[in-house]
Amino acid sequence: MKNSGKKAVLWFAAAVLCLAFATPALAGLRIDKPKVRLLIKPGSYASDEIKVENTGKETMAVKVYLEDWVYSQQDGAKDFFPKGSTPLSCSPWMTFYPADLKLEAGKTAMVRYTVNVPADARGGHYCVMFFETAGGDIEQDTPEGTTAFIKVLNRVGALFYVEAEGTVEKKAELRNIRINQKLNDFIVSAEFANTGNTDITAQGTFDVLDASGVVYARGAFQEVYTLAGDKASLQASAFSVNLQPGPYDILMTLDFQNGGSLIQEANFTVGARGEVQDIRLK
Amino acid sequence: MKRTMITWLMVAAFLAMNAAPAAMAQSAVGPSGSAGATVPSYLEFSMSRVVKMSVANGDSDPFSDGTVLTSPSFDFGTLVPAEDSAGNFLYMRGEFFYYVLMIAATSGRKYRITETGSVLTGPGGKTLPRESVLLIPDYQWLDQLGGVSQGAPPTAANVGPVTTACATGNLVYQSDPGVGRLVRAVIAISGPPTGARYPQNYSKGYNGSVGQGTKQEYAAWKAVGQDQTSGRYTGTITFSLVLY
Repeated sequence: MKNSGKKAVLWFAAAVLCLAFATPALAGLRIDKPKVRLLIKPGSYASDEIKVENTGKETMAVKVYLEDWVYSQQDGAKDFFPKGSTPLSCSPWMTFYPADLKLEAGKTAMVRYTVNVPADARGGHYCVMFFETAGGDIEQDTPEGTTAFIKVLNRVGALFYVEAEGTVEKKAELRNIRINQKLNDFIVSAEFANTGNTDITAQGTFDVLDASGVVYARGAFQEVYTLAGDKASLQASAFSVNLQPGPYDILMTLDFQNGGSLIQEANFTVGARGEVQDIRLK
Repeated sequence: MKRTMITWLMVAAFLAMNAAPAAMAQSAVGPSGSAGATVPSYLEFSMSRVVKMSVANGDSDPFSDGTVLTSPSFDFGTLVPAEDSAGNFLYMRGEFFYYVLMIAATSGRKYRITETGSVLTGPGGKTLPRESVLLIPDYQWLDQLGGVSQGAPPTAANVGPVTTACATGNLVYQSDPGVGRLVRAVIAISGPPTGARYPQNYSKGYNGSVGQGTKQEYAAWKAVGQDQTSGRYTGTITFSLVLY
């Protein structure tokens, strides 16, 4: 343990050195708080700072602005929308300063923000603070014919998760549980429904047992990302499993990131031809 | 003795980063003398290189060909006709195409790089066909980070498919776990870069010679025709990096 700790430190130092000696980027931005999760009482506020660093080799103009985000896919991919345009937006609650920065190479600046949570706020709300570098324009003559010109921008986002303290309901249900045996694979799928009022990122497992508690199959569900009201599809497989006819229990356990869990039991029967029937939630 | 060496390595690393040691919480506790280090959480997006590639010169390698830009904007020059070997008109294309080389550093957390672009708009509000401006995400196993080839992408990582650059939220690359990698994005107008095949890439990139993973083709691309209204067409492209 002692040696492995030292090795880890050595590897970390070596990795940092490698990165540090790499050629400076044309344009590089670093922020120190890529994810901000805040629990604030309704009618109250919180303030903090995000450090922005120019890791490139040129002086850089940085524009700071807010947008909304929602999960576009259950794997955590996000879509971005204009500030205040989504139902669970917290960007109207936010103020920050400054909105425009000029950063010399290697220099840092702080962007100070305040989140004012309305008195009637409930559950989780979300937005993203983008830090965007402005591309320069290229002067050009006006040649005959058709010309095309694109300005390229580069931005990093600090994701905000703001919860109204005392009103958060972190709840979820598993619905439409389906179990199949195909060849030697045992496949479990279900719909994960976020029935609370805040975001839930969940990951978990299933275990199939008989009445005596012997485990016959195990599998892991992929990680799913949901906001309040979202649904996600869970699927997990156990390979090289072929259950004999008889009654079984299935125990599905989902752990929530940032606390909480969901445990769902069901029983089912495997028929004479290997078919799964009579799935009943407990 | 060993601890002294570790300490000096850490200090050297910080000096090289031009970062204050206070930026990292560090502790050394207990009679065993074991050292602990807390890796700071940050998100960094570097546009390490933008290279202007000439169609006429047959540029293909952004590390040895083309012109490295100091200003990250794309000027495709005058659109010129591309012809087949018999001299028949095929489509209009840019004199240049561009490689954008990007590196993300995320403290090991899952991340996603996306691209959003506006339609190129010209005189009188005329536009270039949305499908004529191509985004070609590209991951090369032999690209080097810290002097060594970066190798295959992490198991659950994915390179985004070839698509129009004039759309919202195009996937360039997603990484799980969040291992920092060099990712290329080619931006071209009306047809693949010189030497490239029909617009396509592979979900796991190229191992140095052939594509790996799922082949991803963009069958919807459109040419800029000869009847396109002449003038200057402009737009913006934004590359975004956020965590999952």
